[in-house]
Amino acid sequence: VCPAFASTRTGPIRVLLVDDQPLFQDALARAVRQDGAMELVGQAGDTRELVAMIDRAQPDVVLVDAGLLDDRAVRTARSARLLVLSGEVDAAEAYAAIESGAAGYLSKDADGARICRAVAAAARGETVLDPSVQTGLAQEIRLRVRDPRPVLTQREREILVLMADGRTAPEIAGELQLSPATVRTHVFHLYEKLGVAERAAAVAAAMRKGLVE
Amino acid sequence: VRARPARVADAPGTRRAVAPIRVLAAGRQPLLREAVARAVRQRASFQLVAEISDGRAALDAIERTCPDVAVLELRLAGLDGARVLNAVMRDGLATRVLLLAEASDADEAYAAIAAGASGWLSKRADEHELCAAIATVARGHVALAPDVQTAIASEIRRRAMRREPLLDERERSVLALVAQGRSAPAIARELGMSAGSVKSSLIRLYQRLGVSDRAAAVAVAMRRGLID
Repeated sequence: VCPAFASTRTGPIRVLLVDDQPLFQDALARAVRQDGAMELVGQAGDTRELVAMIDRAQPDVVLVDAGLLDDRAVRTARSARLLVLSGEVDAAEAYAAIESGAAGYLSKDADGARICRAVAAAARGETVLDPSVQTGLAQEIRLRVRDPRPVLTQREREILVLMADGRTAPEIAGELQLSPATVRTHVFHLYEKLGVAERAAAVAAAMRKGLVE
Repeated sequence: VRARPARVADAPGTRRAVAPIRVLAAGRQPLLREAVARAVRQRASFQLVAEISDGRAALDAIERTCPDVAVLELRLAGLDGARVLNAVMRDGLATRVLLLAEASDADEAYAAIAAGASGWLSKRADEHELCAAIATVARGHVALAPDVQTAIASEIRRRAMRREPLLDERERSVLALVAQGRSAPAIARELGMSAGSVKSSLIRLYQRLGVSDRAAAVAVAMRRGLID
């Protein structure tokens, strides 16, 4: 985010539209023109001349159809804030757009007022994510994060919880109705997974890793 | 991981008495907690099941009463909200967690979402936004406050600079063999791993792919082009 950019801007927000659907582009242009805080500084049906257009029109925010978006377009738009509009909201597409630096991702189902609010937020340096894409985006985030913690079996979990309560191995065997030898085996596996050699260290490691409270 | 029981889908035309959304509110700040509780009580479609000040007690209450949504202040005494979330997800509880945090905590939102939080609200949210977020989360969707969207986007961009493949070599091999219909022991033999680590790696993959079984894992991975 770029607060300096937001604070140095005076006057209306300069908006450039890039969309290959004439009807949508017209409607969007009307919405921008009707908003007193914005000025429409250009319109295009494709991104071929995007660099030249941005140089010429000096927009603060570029509204661009997701279908016209490629890495090159995002890179060249760097001096402006790029707000992506998508007819078919797709979480992977939204994630990729944000990843490459877009200031927001909105559904084309949004009405003019909502799009104008998003333009204003983007001009302030904020990021705007369509509500319909938030669930998918969360899933994209989960897909990208590796959990380094060991996976415990149900039994190992039960034994760990009892260990954290201060029970001894024979007590645990009694409570879970297992043989002491079986408990020893599970405990051995627990130590191995936690990288420790002893029960107090096992409990400490498990707590630090969030495997037990 | 136990799959969470889906809340009844909003199928049009089905005649069914809609059960209220059961909500637990936990917060360290008494005024905030009371405000959340009051907002929940005032809605006929919500039912307040508990109002709690401490994280450990909140986790106990979640385990006991299994609310649809737990609204947790991030900074809880005892066990903080992130640790309660961790326990809820680890133990496969059906409760969905909506975190309530200071604007300045926004940089922790990415990790919370990655850990399975269903939503993140700023304490600047008003009653209307709070209730809308509770309803969204109860439907199985994710609700992110506007100020946190920017923080999450920043983290996405930061991570883009050290972009790693979605699946590492080992994960891709395991999944490719699953797609061929091999069992975990067969995969273990083929890759020279223990059956336990094949199972662990499958559990992790299911979590990350957001699925609960092997067929769905293969479907998601193929659609995303992670395996061919």
